[in-house]
Amino acid sequence: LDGNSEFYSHSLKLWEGLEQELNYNVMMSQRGQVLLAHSDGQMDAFARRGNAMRMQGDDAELFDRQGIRKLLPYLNHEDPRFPIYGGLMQWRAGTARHDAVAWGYARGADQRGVDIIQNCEVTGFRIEQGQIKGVETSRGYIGAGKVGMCAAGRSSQVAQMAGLRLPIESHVLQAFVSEGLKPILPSVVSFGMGHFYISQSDKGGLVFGGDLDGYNSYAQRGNLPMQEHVMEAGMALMPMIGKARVLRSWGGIMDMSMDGSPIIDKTPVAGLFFNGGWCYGGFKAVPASGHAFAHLLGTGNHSEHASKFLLNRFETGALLDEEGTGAQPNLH
Amino acid sequence: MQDYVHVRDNIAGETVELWHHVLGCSAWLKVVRNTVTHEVKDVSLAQDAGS
Repeated sequence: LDGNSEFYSHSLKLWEGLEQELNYNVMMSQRGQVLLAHSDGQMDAFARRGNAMRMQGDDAELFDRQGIRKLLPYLNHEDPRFPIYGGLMQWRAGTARHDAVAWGYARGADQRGVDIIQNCEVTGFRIEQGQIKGVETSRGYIGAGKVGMCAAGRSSQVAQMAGLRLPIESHVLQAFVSEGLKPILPSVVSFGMGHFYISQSDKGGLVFGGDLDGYNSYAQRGNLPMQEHVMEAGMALMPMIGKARVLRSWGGIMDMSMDGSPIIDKTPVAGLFFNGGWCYGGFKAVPASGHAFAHLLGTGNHSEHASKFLLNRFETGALLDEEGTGAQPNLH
Repeated sequence: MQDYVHVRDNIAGETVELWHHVLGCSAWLKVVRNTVTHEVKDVSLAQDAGS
């Protein structure tokens, strides 16, 4: 969608220069991501999507049946319910080591003069006549003319301290890692119809996951029915992973916004800014999200790449609803 | 309108929700659930709860 696509395009370009800029190896690997199609209609839709991506200056390549077979020969191509008709590959997509990204950013910020205070909980905001004055924390008060609020998963609780209610619901999303295996998967594979995606880390573990557990939760752990569903989808797509053992699984809390798109905007409190509602697409957005938020805090204006992530779209109805599912956060 | 459709309290702790037993008896249930621990404290038929 217009509004999202130029933002993520910008983000990918920033990713490509991130290691140089931070002088840190984040193990960025543009190994490609392929979305699988299971019908003629889906192939048409992917052709259209691929064209839209190319017109924007990004890359996309449509693979037919034989192409996917050659690329990923071990998938179950003849599954009776979801036979593989082809797929849309974005070669510049890929993976990065999330810890290294966090460490690289932390060091980069520190070198540029940013103070990062660890083990320090925000306990409240000081607001006078609708203007932000500072932040109360467990280690004392910090006065500030401008405050940026970015607390994924807990946005609603932090915003509540400033008297705000958000169009966000918190949900748990699970992910899984297998034991380390020899290199087998060259790219990221998304099996949308089965709610399943998989890639292989540099250590050799298969990293995979599926959908949200379905109801709002802060539990930071998943439930067994969704684990079973993900394993079933994995077996349907790639039967050979039945031999691999799952090493660990975990559940993280997602800020699910009401239209599936993020928010980078001012709030009704003057000087207080909000960045959140990233659903489960936050990681790919990291560099552009930071860039756009810094632009907003610094200039008071929206970055050209993130001009539509506004809070008031829920009032005006100008939503950025990619899936067209409406205000049902567990469906995005 | 915007409040009703899009804005959520998004409580971390005890919430009162309506659940629909879709694949079973189709009953609407009033469930008191803790979103942090997943503990279900109380369940009653919504028709009896008068809400």
